[in-house]
Amino acid sequence: MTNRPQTLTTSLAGRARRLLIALMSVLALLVGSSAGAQSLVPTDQSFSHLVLVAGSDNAAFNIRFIELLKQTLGDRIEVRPYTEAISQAQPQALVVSLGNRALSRVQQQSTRPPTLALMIDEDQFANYANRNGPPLSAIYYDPPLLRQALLGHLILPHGNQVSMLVRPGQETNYDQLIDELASYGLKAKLFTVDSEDNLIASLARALTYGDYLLAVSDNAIYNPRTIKHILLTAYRRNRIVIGPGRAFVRAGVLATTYTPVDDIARAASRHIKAFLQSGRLPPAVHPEDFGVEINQQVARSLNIPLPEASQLEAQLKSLLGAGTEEEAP
Amino acid sequence: MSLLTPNIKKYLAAALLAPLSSVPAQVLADNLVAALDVSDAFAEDYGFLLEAPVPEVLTTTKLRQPKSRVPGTTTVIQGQLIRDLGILNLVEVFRLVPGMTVGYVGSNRPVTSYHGTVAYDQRRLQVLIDGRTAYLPSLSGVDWNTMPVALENIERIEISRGPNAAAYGINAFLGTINIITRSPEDTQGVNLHTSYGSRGHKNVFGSAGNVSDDFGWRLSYERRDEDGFDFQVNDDTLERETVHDGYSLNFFNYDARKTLSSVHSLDLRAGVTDGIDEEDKGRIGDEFGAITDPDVDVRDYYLQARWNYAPLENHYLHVQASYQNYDRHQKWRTCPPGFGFCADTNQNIEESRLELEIQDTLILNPDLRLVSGLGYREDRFNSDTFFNGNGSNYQSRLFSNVEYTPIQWLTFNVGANWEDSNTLDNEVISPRFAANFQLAENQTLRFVFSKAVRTPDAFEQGADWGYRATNVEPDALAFLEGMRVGPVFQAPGTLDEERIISREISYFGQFRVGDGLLSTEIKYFYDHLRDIISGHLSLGEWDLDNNVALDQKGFEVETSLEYPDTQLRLTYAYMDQDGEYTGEPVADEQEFIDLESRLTARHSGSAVWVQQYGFDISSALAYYFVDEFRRGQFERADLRLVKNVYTPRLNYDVAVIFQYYLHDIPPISRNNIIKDRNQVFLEAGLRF
Repeated sequence: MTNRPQTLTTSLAGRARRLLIALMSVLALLVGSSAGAQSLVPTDQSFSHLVLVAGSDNAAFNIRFIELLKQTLGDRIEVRPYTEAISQAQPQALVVSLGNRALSRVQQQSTRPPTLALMIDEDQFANYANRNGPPLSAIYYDPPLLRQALLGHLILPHGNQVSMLVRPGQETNYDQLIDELASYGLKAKLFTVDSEDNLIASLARALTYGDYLLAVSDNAIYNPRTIKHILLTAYRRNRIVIGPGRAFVRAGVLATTYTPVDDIARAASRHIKAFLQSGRLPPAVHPEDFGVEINQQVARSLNIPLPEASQLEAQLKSLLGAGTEEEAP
Repeated sequence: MSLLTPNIKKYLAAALLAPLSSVPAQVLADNLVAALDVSDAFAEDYGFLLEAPVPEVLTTTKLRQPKSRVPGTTTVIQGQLIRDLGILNLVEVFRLVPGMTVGYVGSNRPVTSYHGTVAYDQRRLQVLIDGRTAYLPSLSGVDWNTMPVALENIERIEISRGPNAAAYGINAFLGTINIITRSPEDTQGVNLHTSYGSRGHKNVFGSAGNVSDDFGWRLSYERRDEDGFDFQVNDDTLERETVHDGYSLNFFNYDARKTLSSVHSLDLRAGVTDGIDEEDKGRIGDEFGAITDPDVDVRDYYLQARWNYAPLENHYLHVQASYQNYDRHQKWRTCPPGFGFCADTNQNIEESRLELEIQDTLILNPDLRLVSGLGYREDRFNSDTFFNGNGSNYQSRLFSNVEYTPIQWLTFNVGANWEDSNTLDNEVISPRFAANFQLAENQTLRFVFSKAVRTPDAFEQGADWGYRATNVEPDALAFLEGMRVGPVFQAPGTLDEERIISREISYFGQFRVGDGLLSTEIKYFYDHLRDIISGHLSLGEWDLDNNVALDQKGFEVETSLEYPDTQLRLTYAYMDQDGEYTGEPVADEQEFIDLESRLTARHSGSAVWVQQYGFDISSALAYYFVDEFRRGQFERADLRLVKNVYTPRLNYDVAVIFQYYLHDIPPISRNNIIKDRNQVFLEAGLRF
């Protein structure tokens, strides 16, 4: 397509440079980690200031994130790639996991280390949250649904009915959200998607109720294979879709909020520092900061007058009340 | 830095993206976007939104355009609004369109028009269902009662208000109605709906469909029953008597879409209509002395296929073929007064239309888009009574529209249609020019100039009209068997095409008003209609000619205001018509102007208020008015109250609809009498 979403335009030269940096970093890491393997046990003075990063399957992202974390944490805290051996040897060291698979890996270790889960959805983390044992917390990656719903309301002020597609058995998870939405004058209803076979049937019913569809972060419902169909059905019925994430805006979703990686790193460093001071991890949170990404071309197609993303972001922040991080339930 | 060749870059990007397949796609896709700005898991385009119907305006130029770039006012009525308002018959939707009027000129045979000019049928509109021409092939009227589209299946209706021959050719003279049904890809599951109420109204609808990765289908069934009007006026006694003008029709429709590959897809549609459209023996004409009701036995079908090919996101085309057949058997027993015999006679007619279209869309850049195509249409008709046999008309055309936005605040549309037809003396080019000025964000001012022609339809030009007698009694007059009895008329075939030159200045704006969204479209028009065919079109009296010139000017407003829980919509049209008789001298020139003005009105409009309450109860109040038709005003107020129930696995609703006619007098024909000004209907629907 000719019109790319505003914030994603990058020149080819820029891409090439980033890729080259990524490549060089991979090489540097390989060299670095083999060097590290020779002195596996760190010295005493770095002991309490060691953070291990259990990366995702995306090596380039891992490198970039470790760099970011190092920058935000400063020189006194050592950040290293996680291996089970190091973690076993340093059971007190905090492990930062990137993504659901990394968290799963770390949590399956025979002695579980204190863990801060990043790049993970609230839903995914709920599976681990109530385990006893060493400290465990998270910085959620998925945008909080209240924030997403309010973004939809800002874009469509006359729309006050919200539809959500959910998987069977998940319905009660949204009770609190529905109450919160009511305090903003928004009404929400859930439509269950029993299986992929009745996705469109449920969606069609959802669209007869909702002024907009609030997409929950559920890979079984919203994924690259289903999103095109969902969007076409919604747009043909003159309904918009908000969320679930930034990549979906590129695929044609009207708008979403998202957390920039820098903000995740900042939120993580606050948790890490708190842990290093007290030995305890603050509760799981959605990062306070967020950005708004919109798709102007889709808005034009739907004849929806849409403010600038920065304006929506400011309005949304004032609506949510600045400064308070939303605590997890 | 330049060590990386493009191929290596590609390889690296592919290597980085490879893990996507094995991990939660969304999380990683987001990670990648956030961290690296490299291409993510999704195709970075909305190419798929271009060829499929998103709620932009499609009809006007055949390009998908936001209202800010459309060359002409276009009303879009969403299917949801039709259902919210409790509209029970398709034709009544058009009361919501500024400048359109709806009436019953004959008996229970609704007619709608934009800018009036109606004798019995409206022949000056292009009507399409999913891109398939839907007016009758030989008589060019639109049979709304048997239109093979269920209200429940309508996604939206686009009405391009103004001549649109540049995109659709002859007959898109005053306007174009494009009925777009729901994609079979959107209607998975079961939808049941029924309504029941006054004047024998019974409607039952059911559809079932399924969607898989590459195939979506929907099968629909609808039954429509209505008793029609309550009374007619006996021509002799002037007393009220009951009228036999209901209908009872069955519709089967099948819609499917098959995705053949990432660039090919196929749409298939088919439908069958079967039933009885009643006609009263008193309405066929006294001279017939009909002793049985000349009911019409309706047997129609259609087949449609469309192949979509989108090799590139900025270049795609489709090839569409459709075949429609209308088979109408209308037979009755007649004893012409004073002739001493009885016989069977008929107005049977079988009509068919074959239509082919190739359309190509090329997007050179977002500001320069081109749509062009070829069309071929073949209309065939066979009627002993109307044509003394069979006949056919052919039409070939070439059309194109360029949309060009040289600067952000200015868009030009230039379109034209070249056409050749055996109904035309010469080839015709119908152009349209438009300039859209973006006054501000979400405010557009348009200037549109267009020309169009309408060719006389097969009957106007080529009627060979007479009634053949069969089963003649008494035997003494058996020599009449198989002969055309009574007056016979042969049309001279000297009619020329009608012409229109239309000028429009229109404004479209959207504003946020507190929590609300205000959208408004205002149109000023000044149209010259020339060589309009007017006159009497009956066996005893046939004096059709290109003998009327009309100048129409006025303005139209369409406004909607949407608030949470409240939706308001208002339309108003003012039209000033100057008519002039231009034909051979006659005693009553005005009569010829009036004959073509049955649906013409100075003031018309509608007001709608949809309100949501707690507990998913909502109401819709609608008011429609026309001031005035030739016998008086039309005003009606509708109220629909509905309780919706949305559960995670099933939706249902129950509703009651009240219609209140503010006037007793039938506004167009004295025979269309409704006994009770209050009409009540009950509705229920279920979706799972």
